[in-house]
Amino acid sequence: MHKRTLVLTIALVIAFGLLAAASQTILIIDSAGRVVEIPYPIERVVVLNSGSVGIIRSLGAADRIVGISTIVARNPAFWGPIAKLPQVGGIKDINFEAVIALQPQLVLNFGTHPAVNIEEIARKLAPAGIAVAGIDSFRFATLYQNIATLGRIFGNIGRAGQLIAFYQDILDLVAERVAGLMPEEKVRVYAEHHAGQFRSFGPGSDWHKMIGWAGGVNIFADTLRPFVTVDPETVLERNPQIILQDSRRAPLGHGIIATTPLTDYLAVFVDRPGWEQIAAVRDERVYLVSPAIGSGTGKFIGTLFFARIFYPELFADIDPERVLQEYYRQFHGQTFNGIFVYPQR
Amino acid sequence: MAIKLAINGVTFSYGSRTALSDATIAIEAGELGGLVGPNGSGKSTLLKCINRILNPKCGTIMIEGEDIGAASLKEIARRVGYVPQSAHSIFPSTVFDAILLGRRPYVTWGISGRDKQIVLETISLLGIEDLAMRRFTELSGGERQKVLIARALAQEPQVILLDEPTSNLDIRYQLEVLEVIRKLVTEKKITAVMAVHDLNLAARYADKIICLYKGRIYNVGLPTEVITAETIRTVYGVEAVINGDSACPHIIPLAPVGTKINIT
Amino acid sequence: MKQVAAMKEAAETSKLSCGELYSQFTAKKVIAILIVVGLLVVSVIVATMLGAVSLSVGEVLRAIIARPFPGVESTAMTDVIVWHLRLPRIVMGIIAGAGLAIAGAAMQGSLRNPLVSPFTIGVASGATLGASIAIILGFGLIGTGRFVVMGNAFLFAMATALVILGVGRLRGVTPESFLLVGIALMSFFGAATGLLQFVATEGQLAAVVHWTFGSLTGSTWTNILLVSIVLSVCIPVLIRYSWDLNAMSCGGDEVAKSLGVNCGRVRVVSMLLASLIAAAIITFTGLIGFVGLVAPHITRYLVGGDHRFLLPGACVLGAVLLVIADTLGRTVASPTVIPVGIIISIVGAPFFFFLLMRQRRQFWQ
Repeated sequence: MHKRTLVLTIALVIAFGLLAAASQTILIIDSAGRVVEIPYPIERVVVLNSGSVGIIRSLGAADRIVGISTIVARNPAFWGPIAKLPQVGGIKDINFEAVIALQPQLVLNFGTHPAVNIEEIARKLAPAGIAVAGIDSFRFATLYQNIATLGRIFGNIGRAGQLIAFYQDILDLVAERVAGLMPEEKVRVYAEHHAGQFRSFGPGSDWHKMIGWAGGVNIFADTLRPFVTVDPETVLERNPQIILQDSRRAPLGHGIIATTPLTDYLAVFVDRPGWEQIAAVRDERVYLVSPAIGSGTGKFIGTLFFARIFYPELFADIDPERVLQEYYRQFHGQTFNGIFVYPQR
Repeated sequence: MAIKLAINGVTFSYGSRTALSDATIAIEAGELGGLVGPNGSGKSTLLKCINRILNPKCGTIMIEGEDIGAASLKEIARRVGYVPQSAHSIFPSTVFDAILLGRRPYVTWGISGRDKQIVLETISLLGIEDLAMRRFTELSGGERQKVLIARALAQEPQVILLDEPTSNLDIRYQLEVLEVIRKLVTEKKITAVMAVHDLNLAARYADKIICLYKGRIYNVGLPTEVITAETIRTVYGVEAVINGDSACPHIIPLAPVGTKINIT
Repeated sequence: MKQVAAMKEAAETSKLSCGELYSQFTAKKVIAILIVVGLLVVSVIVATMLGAVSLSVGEVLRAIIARPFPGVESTAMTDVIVWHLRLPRIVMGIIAGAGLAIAGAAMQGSLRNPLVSPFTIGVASGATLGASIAIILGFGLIGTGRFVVMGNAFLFAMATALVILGVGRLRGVTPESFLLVGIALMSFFGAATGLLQFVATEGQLAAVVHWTFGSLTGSTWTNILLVSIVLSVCIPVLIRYSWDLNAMSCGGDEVAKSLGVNCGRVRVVSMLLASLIAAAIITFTGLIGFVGLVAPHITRYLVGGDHRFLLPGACVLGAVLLVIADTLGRTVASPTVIPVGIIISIVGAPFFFFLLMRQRRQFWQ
């Protein structure tokens, strides 16, 4: 399925690219399904969602960013000089005066995030002659499209193609290795959302996809919504072999080296009634996952981390850490120290 | 006869506004004192000072020669019953329960047979047996007033205070309620102080009239002594003629002072 | 002479029948409460049997008995499910429902206002602010680790109660001053929470939202013990105030005073205790609001406005409502759990509406 998307996307990218070369503006379709006319080439852009900032940096266009949101500013370890750019508020509480003062040609934000109404932002900024596009850059379903669109906007389609290929190679590798697993060999996985205890992922969530692609079985594949609160009894009954937490609030991520706080965090995390009986807890296969590899474009390499956690023997020759650093070197111009999965094996 | 209720030099003010100053009255057992005076003259304030709903600034209140200044509200409630002008209940309760509240000064949680007995006696004394299980909120104004009187009686008080008990009632109920009060005072030798608007009713039912004017006692005495054309002119600012026999004066108000009288 | 005797006799019988009527009336109330107690027992038994993991009645019973009688065999799994997952949330449901309901009933009575619930006076907003401070700023006044959020929620909820005490001292103790101060506190805490959310990360925001959804999932025997201690101190005092609350809600402050009730003290103390109860509960459960409003009204419908029956009755009814709502929440979409706060409002509000419509007589006036 992904192969076909890839081919289609690249074909579209080339077709649109040829069109773009001939005019002073280009037309794109954003994540919200809006057709947006964008000046070409883009020299000044304000980017609010961090996923898009990451892709733009990977496309080698970080120097065109002139303004960011508070979210980006909060992670200077990863964003470096970008984090020091002028801030224009958060994704849903934008300071429009600050945006206009930066005189951007384009503002990028989420297109389908529930907290963001991209149409309204566009209406507010239209009188100032500023184009607004909603580029989600966080859902698997549209990530390749988003990368391609950003490639067109910043005139670097070739680089966008390389980035998509890098991600797809990882997914292909994982798919190939887990393809031979028999249903009974597949590990049962319980994944917990960062919002609170027993908040889990159902079908429709990207974590559900990641677990499946990595050859695992999400124990809550039978729930109805992408994000659900589940019954603690069921977790015991379904006895997961692996437990993962999408740890937004654990001391994990870029620039982190101390493990003691993580040991404490993990001890508190698993301290729940009956959990000592769960296979994952008994076998010490409970992992905290940093958003660096559990959200946005990080989820591609995150899938490799999952696969390696699920099937260490199948992936004995592959070190996800090194793949991650290779990716950082190639697409973000540097490597980063930090802890992305804890415990590290 | 011993002086049952003695009010001596009672003064009260709401903030800086003095509502009552230096009120001194004595009422005997079995006597009904009628408290008259225009709006804002301090009738309600005086009543509320007697059972310490309001705390007087100075002055003493004695019941049977005993100063109740230091007594707790509960102790006072065992000696003084209070009938408000009207009562609006927020939550529904039956008449029986409403009267049972009169036993509050005597009980902590459980009610005894005696408490129930007293409530039943009070109910039959006022002849409201058929109302006992009805909801208080469903009653007419006159019925409610009887229930409120019954509750005050259930307190087994020596003194009963009534704050314009008839002001919201039609003429029949006014008379009915006042007859009940009169009968209780005479038969049970209770001391009663009742604020009344209607001077004719006051003159007819009270043994003694206390006339308040601008927070001070203007005049105290028998109805015939107090309710005079001169008093009414000064206190109410109304020209009136007094008819009737010497025992029960009858007032016919004519016009506010200073306007032309058109009645011939 | 004969006639007089006959009249006297007639009077006697009417007096008797009146007293008998009242005894019947009281007995009916007691029976109504006993029926609700029966309902509670049934719902607790059903709740213990039902769950995402299907256990037979025998398995559940064996697991329950195995603790006190080690001779009985039970698996470790059923033991954990019954003793650590089901029973704690059921017991917490009972005490949280009872506590919030009696707190609501006492507040409605002492403020003479049928719209009041433990949340109207800012306790819940205080707790939310406290939890937000702990989650977003990572700052707590008491407790460590995961208890920081709970500790902070409790402290801020109690701060609300202390403000109430201060109001009593400074501004007089009329119902209006409590309501107005409650509204002011709610807006203030709400605004402060909103302000904090500006500096929050997405993860922190999600955690705050998760906290505000009331849930019994996190119940443990320790939490239950702590809440029970608070309740066992506060509930008897509130019930002792039954007569005073009757006097205040029936006749107003003046009449209550004339009956020897120290209205100011009763109001301040009952508000303080009700806030303390609510604070202790929502510290561990998050916001479960509706039961505190609706349980007293349903109970009033069943046993009338006499607080001697209303307060204990509301306790039992609140417990029933919460246990049933939580059982529904964890079984209808199993293994997904629907937060109990949502269920109780979805099911409770129409039921309450139905009762109001069916009631010919005016509920209050």
